[in-house]
Amino acid sequence: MQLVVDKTNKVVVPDNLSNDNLEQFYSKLNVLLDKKPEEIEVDCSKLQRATSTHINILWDARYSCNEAGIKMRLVSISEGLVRVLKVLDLYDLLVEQEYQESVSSERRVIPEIDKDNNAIEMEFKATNGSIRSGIKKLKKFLGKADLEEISILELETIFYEVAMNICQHAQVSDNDLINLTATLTSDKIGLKFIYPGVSFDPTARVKDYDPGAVIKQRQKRGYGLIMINRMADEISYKRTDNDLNELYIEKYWGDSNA
Amino acid sequence: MPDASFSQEILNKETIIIKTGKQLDNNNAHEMVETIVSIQIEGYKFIIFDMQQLEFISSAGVGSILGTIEASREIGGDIILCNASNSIMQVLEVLDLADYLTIKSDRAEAVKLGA
Repeated sequence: MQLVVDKTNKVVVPDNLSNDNLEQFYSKLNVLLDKKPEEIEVDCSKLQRATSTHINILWDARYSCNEAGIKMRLVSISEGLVRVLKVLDLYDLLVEQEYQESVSSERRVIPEIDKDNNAIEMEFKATNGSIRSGIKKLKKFLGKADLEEISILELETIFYEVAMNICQHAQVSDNDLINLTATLTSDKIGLKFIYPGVSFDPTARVKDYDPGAVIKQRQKRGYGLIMINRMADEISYKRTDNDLNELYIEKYWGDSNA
Repeated sequence: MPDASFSQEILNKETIIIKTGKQLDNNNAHEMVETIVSIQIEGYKFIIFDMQQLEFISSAGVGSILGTIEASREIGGDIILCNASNSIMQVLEVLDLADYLTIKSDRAEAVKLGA
């Protein structure tokens, strides 16, 4: 396929999602990314409709630009596309939100859903980069509370181990999104993970644990759930009506932890 | 000398030091296992695990130590942890490992055991 490179920093999203068109789009995008311009325009003028694949293309472009430290601007956006983006809560992120310096792996991040309740909601993919990015956001959020270093470490560990166990046991794919809502009150934090995949109840899998025995047995795996259960104060799990998993974890500090 | 990305330093014919990076997690725990096993196969009895740089250890990272330590102990050696931060110690204590692992405050103390 011949790649036509024009002199503008613009890439056009194809309406027809043939392999050739997709290849051409991503090739052009990559060429632009390599040029490292200040801004890349993603032209949506050809879009007659917006399918999930089109949205994924926009998200891919946004993510790639973010990673490269390049501002992405959508141009020629139809009203139909605006509606779709708003329904998906992507409008602010892809269209109106100012470019953020920090690279984010999340498809959608809502920094605060309820300031009065000190809550944060985020979605992250079941990939190491996205999980790490989620941990960073959680730690930043935890900065609101005057927590001890140990509490922050334990919450970081809980987040990491839950995410890794979801990847391993719930059989989610790299593209599946895990939703986390964290809510701070004066004496505790609640972490609610909602994730797709097969039913996976972390509370049901913790077996008897004998440190001496596991060393003798040369056991290399299976410590994550023990760590989660020991670092958290309350854990509950349920399968939702729409076939999602909901894991709720609470951790106390101060007098409530006594 | 095993080929691995973890920094290693041979102290004597029985003792070798492994220096971890900032993280020992699911991404590199398997590599740590391979490194330790290679060192054990080469005949080193004592492995000093210098955690000075380590900021985060996941369950897989802990598992890379727990799963390999017995092989060293069987031949009269050990895996000796040193320079662990409070955060790392907290993880080890959560898993009740303080009484089952050989943990020294710094490298000098660890080297005494491996000397």
